[in-house]
Amino acid sequence: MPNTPWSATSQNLGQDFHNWSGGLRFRPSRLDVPEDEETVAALVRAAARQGRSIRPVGSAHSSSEIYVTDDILVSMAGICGLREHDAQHHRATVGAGSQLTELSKELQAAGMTLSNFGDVATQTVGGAIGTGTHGSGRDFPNLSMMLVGGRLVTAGGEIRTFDVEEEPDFVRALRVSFGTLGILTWTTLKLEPLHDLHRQEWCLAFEPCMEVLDKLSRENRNFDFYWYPRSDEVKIRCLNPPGEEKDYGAFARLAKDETGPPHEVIPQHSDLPHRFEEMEYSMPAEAGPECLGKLRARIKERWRRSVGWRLLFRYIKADDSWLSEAYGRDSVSISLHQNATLPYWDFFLDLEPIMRDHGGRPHWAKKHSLRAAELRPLYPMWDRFLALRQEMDPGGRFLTRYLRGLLGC
Amino acid sequence: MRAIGKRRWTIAGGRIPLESNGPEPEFTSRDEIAVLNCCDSPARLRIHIHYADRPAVGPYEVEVAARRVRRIRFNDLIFPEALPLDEDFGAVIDADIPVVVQFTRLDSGTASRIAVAAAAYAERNLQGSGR
Amino acid sequence: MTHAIGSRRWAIADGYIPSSSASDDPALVSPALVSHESACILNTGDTPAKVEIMLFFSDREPAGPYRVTVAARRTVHLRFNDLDDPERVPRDTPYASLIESDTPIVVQQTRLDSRQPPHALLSTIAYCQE
Repeated sequence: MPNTPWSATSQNLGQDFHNWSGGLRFRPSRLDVPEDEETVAALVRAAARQGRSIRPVGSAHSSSEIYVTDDILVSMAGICGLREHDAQHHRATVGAGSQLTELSKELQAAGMTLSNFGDVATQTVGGAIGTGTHGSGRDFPNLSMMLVGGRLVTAGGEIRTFDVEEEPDFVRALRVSFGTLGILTWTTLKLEPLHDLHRQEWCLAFEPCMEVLDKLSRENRNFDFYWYPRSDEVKIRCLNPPGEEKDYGAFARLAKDETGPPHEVIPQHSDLPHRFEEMEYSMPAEAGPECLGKLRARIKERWRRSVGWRLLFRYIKADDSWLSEAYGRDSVSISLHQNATLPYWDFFLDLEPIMRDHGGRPHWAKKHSLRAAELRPLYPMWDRFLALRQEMDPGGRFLTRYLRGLLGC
Repeated sequence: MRAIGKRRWTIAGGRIPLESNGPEPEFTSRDEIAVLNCCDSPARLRIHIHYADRPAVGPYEVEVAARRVRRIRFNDLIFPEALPLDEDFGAVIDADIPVVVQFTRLDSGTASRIAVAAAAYAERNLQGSGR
Repeated sequence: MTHAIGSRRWAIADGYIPSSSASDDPALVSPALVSHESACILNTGDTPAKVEIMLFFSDREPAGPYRVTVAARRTVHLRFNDLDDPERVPRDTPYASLIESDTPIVVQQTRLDSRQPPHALLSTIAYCQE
């Protein structure tokens, strides 16, 4: 089982650091919470001098071990907020430690919004971008594509600016790199003018939904759905500009109807009091329905006894971020969940091969069992990314044992 | 409208059947309660599930609107934790106003068997409105 | 004079009349095998029982009152399928019933669900107030 025990070095924390779900617990040697970029740079320089490892962390929502460390952990919570914005070009420069819901309120006051959100908005900007967090919608790439410029601290402890117009390849590599190329401090994001969205959710049976799935996914601005293993029902979730919604009353039952700005109506489960563990794979969009059919059959045959949590099926537009789950292909992601208090690994590991068989790439921030040998064939830009990482951080300042195994370096 | 029912109900013989046949959710095998609220205010329920060999889990929180009946499948209770199918359980249902609870099992499994359903036990002599 | 057995207020929380039966051919299905739901009402007393029934739903206001009289020392098997005044009981719709009488009665619920696939027959004493 991949829950490697971590041994503490010099202890500075009186108790374990743990992630949101509680499933990851570890003891960093030190937890720093810098208030400004120069302090981040100083921390990295000190770590470099001492040959130590240093990892950034956002809201600790991730359930994979990308920030698990027994050495220095840097919380980016102090580098947050809206620093400047350009309403005409819909751009804003924000701290990488900004939590998405809080940031959205500041952006709202400035007349702007993120184009899309995931199902929760508790992540920070740096974490959401760096892990390939996404929402759903055939026309919407993941959140990393918002990143068009900014600043980061390099492994040598220097501050480097970047801009997608000037260094397109570097930014494409940087977008989904979960803090292995540098620590993002201030990020310039491409946004949208503030607007309202009308959310409607409809319940129907599985087969009727799959029959019209293609149409549903194309005629709504944002579309995804839940499948419920214990009732075999589906809940489709549709978002549209007010006035452009579709009426599915002829074959489905309306379960929710609300209108508001994106940060209020897109994420639905930011405040769920019940913790869960999650596995997610993204595959070519055309493979999605068949994969879901196989998962459904397997779950009904074997996992209904112990799993009640719904699956989530989402669409992601293709992008060119080198390690993105949607690099080079329009994609569908399927997420499995289980109550955090119940056994989950056997369930995830039983279904993982089905998703891998359909060309699936695991979500960097959720549970999976893959290491470099299995990951490398999934990403055309893998070798170029590894070469860049080596060039930017030859001493492995931003690496941990887990990341060395994950990336094969 | 005058209340009918009690504020605490118990089901001792829960066991959600594992297999289902036929179109779902209509024929999903299930243990289910129908909760009738004849009052003019909503009823807030807290359900605790008891097992043979481990601590109780709960509360599961459910609301039944005024002058309505609501069906709740034990299969569909996920928060805080999904119930295991095909495992004995008991349920204690506490409501803040009197309600009537009826327990039913539908079993559409291939080894078809007679279902027995009985009105759940209602605790007597409970102080509060409705007596 | 015999004291009537039972209670004046009864509730059946789990009501349901499926619209389909074992077969759709009326020539093949006797009335006994058509899916149905009944409240069996027993009046052991010496005076007739004037009974009023209200039906409750999940997403609309209650329907009723439906009125039926059960003669002294008699039983009535009241088919919910046959109720139509003030309105027919909707099929394939979960409902509940509140049954009130001016003298004590005993109520038992029976349902025959003869849809495919074959599955359970349910029968239960309804909940009584006192």
